[in-house]
Amino acid sequence: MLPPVRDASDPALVLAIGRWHQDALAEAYRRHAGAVLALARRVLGDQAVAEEVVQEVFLRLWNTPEKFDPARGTLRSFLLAQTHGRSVDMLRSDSSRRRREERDAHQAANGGYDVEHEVWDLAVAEHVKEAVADLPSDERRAIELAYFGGHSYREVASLLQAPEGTVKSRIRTGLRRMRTSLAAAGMGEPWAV
Amino acid sequence: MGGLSHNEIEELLGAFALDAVEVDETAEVERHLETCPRCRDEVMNHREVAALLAYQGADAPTGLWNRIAQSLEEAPSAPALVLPIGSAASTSRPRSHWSGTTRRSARAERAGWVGRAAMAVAAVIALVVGVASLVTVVVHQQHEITRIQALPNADLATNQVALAARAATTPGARSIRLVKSDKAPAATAVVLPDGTGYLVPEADGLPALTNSQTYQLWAIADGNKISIGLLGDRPLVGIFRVPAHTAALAVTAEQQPGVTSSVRPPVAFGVIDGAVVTTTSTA
Repeated sequence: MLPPVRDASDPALVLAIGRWHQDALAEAYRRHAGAVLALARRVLGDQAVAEEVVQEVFLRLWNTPEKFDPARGTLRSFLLAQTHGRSVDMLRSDSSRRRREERDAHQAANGGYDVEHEVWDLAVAEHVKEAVADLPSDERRAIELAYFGGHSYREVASLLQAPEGTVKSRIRTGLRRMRTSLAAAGMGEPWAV
Repeated sequence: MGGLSHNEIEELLGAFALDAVEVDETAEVERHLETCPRCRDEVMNHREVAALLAYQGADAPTGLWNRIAQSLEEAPSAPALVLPIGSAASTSRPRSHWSGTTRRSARAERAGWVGRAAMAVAAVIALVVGVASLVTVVVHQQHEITRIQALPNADLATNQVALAARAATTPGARSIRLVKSDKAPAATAVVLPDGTGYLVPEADGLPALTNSQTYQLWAIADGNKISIGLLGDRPLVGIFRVPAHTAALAVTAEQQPGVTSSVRPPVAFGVIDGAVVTTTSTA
């Protein structure tokens, strides 16, 4: 017998989804939809549109579970990458320009993006907060604008009045620096279920 | 657009992982990733970090799940010969994405089928290695002979049954247990070293068909599914030959007189022991 879905690992859940277990999709949803929705809402600034993205991401997992390759990362990062990509697509479409402007105005009024106050507030988050805090501010800002702002690196360069090459480098270096400090804190893959 | 150097591509990887590159650059980076495992790894690592940044502990909204579940059930349906998978709730729900070209192309359907077979293979490995005995396919031969001989209509197909029984005792024969998606036994197959195979369904092991349907047997070999025979609507024993490199067998329910390429979920599935585990367990 298969183990109950609650006890199954994420890759096992996706395998079960591949064999048409709706229970497994429900469990994947239970584990990850909160984070997926939070990211979509963060990027899009709109609860209703964010929910559409969540629905799309989980239906895509149901229809094409083979696209998730456990050798290429965790299910959560896979779902979040899909979510982010779809959110950015929507954000960059013409019809979304107004929404984006409204969101930017809202966030500016509320102090803008702030990774340090957005990360998951449990044990893992402490390490992430430290890793973020250790980043040079120009790297952190570039990552925030690209990831949560949904801006391309060229737009980030324009916003920060920095050369494009510098921004590319800041994003990459910042992500690598975070990974290194998380690994040093003993977080190999702590977020894997 | 084109001609970015490896170094230039590398410089883009962080922004790429955050969906922050331009469309033309995205295409170029994606092409590069197809052939560069090192850069693929880097993107994967960046995305894991990004996932941590995004990680928030909010609960998944229940109402939204209800909408997703409802859309699964409202989707266009295949004929209602869908394997009950584990829960009673899923037995009445046709799988929309097996229903043809309404939501995905036929090509995508085929890719999905094979992909699912590959995933099923991986599932077997995971379970064999770690959790439970989804397919512990060593079937006691004496037990099989007894069972085959006890089949109710054996007198109507004495020759076939006798062949199947003899096959089960042939040195080098491999037994494959085909199961339904709820893991209930569906059939046992025996494959001889020369590739000849016999499929013996369990009593009531295969789900009922509608009037115009037939069971069809498939081999999964080298990532392809190959039809290896029609079994009719009330198979007692199916005799077939497996192609080289066959890793798994599947039975589908198709409209008569069968199809050249199935887009349906299998009603029974079994992985050939040994071949599968040895080819993929090193990953």
